Amino acid sequence: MNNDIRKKGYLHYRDIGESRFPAEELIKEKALPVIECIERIPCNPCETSCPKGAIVVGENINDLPVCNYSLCSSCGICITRCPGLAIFMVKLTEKGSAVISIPWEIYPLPEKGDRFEGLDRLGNKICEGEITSIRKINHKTHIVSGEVSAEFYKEVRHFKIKNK
Amino acid sequence: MKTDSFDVLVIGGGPAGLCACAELSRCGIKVLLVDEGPVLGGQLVKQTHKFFGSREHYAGVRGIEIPDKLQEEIDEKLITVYSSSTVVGIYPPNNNVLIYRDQKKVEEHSFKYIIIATGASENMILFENNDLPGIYGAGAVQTLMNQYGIIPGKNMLMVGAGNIGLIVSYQLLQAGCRVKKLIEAAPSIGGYLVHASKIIRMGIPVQTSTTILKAIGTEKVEGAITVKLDENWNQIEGTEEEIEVDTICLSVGLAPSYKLAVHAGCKQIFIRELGGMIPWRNSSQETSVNGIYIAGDACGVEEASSAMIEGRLAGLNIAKCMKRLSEKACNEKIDDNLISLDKLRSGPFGERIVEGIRKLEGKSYE
Repeated sequence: MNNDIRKKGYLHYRDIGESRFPAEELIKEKALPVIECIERIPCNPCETSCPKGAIVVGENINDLPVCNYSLCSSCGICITRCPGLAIFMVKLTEKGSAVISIPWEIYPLPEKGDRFEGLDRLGNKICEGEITSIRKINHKTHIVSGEVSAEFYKEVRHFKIKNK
Repeated sequence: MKTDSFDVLVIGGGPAGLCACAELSRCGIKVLLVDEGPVLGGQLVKQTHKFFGSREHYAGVRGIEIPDKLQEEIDEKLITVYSSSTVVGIYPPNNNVLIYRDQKKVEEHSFKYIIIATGASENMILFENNDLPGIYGAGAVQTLMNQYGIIPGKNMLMVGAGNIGLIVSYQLLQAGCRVKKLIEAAPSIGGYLVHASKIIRMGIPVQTSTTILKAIGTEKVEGAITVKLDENWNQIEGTEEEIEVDTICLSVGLAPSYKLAVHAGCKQIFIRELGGMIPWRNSSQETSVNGIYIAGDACGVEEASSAMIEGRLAGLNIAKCMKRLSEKACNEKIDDNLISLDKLRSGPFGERIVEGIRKLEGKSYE
């Protein structure tokens, strides 16, 4: 673990590494998870909850998860099951935007059409966007999806909902 | 003296104590469980976040849901629960125990086997005005907020970036409070990066190498002054910053609650990696006093997941001594639990614990 990351406490997308992002041609086809889990901790609900067996942690529970994107059905269950809220899903659209799905545990839940400020991993506003869907999950980690300009798909990780 | 029909006393109904009860009742052993809280679960009852670990240790399940799941494992006919009750003393040589039951009357019992699963208590740090109203331990904030639905304040300063400080900051955000800043005296964040990431991306500034110098206010907290620390942990003059907050939340570590074990005559040992002073124990979780076992944070500050396994180990080892299960069956279950414990501790966050256990094993009081 890079000490610098522990010092600042958050990840820049470069810290996550390009190899942990699905290739752009893949996320033009379907929404895929970005697993922002770079620290070896004893944890594997992503693996055990994936109905397709696409995510593998393996024998040592401290190992980092790896996703086989070809098996992934874009169901989003991993987003809601990760205790670290560290799995996001991204999809690039034909019109040059990106739909980012994030785990959501803040009430009141946003509504479709709400405008938001797209915050990066440091909590800085970097763009604006619109909520496209809310999937309510009964174990209370919901999935909120928002649309932003495609260039921000690697960086926006929170939606700060604007007052209506 | 009360003549008892109980085989074992379990003190503390948190993750370790409940798991001990589960294993004991599975072997047909009658248990008296004494817990100070109104409901069982210990600290689990305020943990609204999902747990790490593996499925068999309730990974991905919120802490608040775990006590019910553990109680489903317990045969109610074999367990008697004294809630809102406290064990006030264990007296050698016969392990006579005084219990302040229901905060009303004192009962005296005697047990051949006792499991101490009393958990840990929060540390406090020194700074000017640290006795002002509005200064809380993170555990107290969680109790107020998550158990009783009371918000302790509007604008918070969080002190300490271990997992508890990070998690409670997130819970404060969920409750609608504003965490204006999180400071950490060490040069880096102590907790899991995923916990830090989720509050930082929501806009909570985290400042490392920073401590609290004083709380401002006369009747209650009105603010705080923080100061930066150099690499030798000395305050850097001129880096003082004033921050306007109404609540200061301290999350500066836990210390094992081992006093009952000391009272019972258990030998203690100082192991920094396990949280300081702890009762010595062997790999069966038995202390230096025959028949007294200890499990969970009371014998080393760690995670709920490892506390649960230690509780199971203590229960199984007692079942083995009482010959309520074949030695072979017991040993198999014990080995399974020891393997899970090793797995949990095998990552970088387990290194400290493993080092502590190594020191513990280097000493014998048997």
